[in-house]
Amino acid sequence: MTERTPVELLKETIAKLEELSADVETEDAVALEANKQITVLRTKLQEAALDSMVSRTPALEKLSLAITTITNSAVHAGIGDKVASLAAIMDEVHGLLDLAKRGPKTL
Amino acid sequence: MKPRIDKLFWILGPCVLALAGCASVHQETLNSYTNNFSAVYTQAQDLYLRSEIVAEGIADRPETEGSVTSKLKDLEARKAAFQTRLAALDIIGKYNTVISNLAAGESPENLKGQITQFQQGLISFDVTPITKLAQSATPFLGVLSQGVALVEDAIKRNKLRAAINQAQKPVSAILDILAEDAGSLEDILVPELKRQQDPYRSQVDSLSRRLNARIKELKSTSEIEALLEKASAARRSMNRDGDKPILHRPSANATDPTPSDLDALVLLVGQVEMSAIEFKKLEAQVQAQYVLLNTYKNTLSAAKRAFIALASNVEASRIVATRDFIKQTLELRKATLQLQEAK
Repeated sequence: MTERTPVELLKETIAKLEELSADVETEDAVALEANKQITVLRTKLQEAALDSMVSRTPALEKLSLAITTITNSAVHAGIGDKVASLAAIMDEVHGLLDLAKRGPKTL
Repeated sequence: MKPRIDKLFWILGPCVLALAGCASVHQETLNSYTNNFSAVYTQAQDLYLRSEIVAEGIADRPETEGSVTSKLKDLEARKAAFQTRLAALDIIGKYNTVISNLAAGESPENLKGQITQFQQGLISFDVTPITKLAQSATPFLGVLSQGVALVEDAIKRNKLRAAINQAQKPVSAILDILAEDAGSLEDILVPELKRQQDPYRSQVDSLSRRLNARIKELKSTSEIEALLEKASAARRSMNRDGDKPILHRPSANATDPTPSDLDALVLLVGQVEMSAIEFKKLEAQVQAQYVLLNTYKNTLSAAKRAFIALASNVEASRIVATRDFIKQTLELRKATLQLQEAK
């Protein structure tokens, strides 16, 4: 069985709470609480998405640096020389992306 | 001391032949790529800026956990993440400008005033008099001056090709990250719209519960069944997962409905319908947002394919990839307009 990510878990829980609220046999107090939780979980979902972006940021910074180096090298002499470390940069980026794929901070 | 022209011909001749054989990046294809990338750039900027506004709002919500200091720290990291993305897009934009200039024949020296060693070597041959001489009737001098121009052009094209080849990995990886971001942007922007829908959704549910409780006390009549069908139709129109119709199950003590009972039910059903309409107005925005983000993700993939194809020696594959990118960019513009219309 595949493990669900925090984001998937949040979406499933929100969907279940929405179904509970939509059921006309659900008691008012229970529906009210379900809707309160939906509000909280929607914010948590948004925060998890924001944290995912934050976790990918170091890789993006490295890649931006690589492009800047290549652009400068294309303009200046000896393009090949200045991007000799590109492979090393890419290795580092892959490492950072692996870390980011482990997901944002758990709930 | 100037070299003899015939000697120069034999030196330059093989270089000219070798460099003239190098595949070039078609200017038109490159222009299509860079112009269409601008559309992606604008859309990405819009999505990130809108998400940044949401991030600022989240920091102020009562349900957001943490102290004021930790909330501020989170907000700073999130804002920095958006700035990094805007900067990455800007860097690709600047890079595109440089490769466009190189492809257009703009010399690298004009771009930054620096020259390659190879070009310095060419200058030492003092090509200006050769060019002047080329205007004379001597046939091989004409060929030679064209050859010098070809060598210079080939240097520019080689720089361009090297710039594109070297940038393939990082540009592709940036586009991959931006595509991954599209999923995160969906989880930021869609819940924001759903938060606006929630009051209408919970109102429909609350009114439906009241309707259900009220009809249990009443015996079945054609008016009641018609009203129930109207309420169920309004609920169905919201297209929610797991939606169930309101079933009439009169209790043992159910009585015949009076005119005032029916009036109260008409009012309740009317309120259900009104709230469902408000919900659906926002649902149109939710669906348009999904379409936009999906199209945006496809456009990023097409941009990546078009960029990789730029370095390809097969012109046909460059044309196919660029056409696909142009088509996706048009779809992206359409999806943006549809989202604006849904508002």
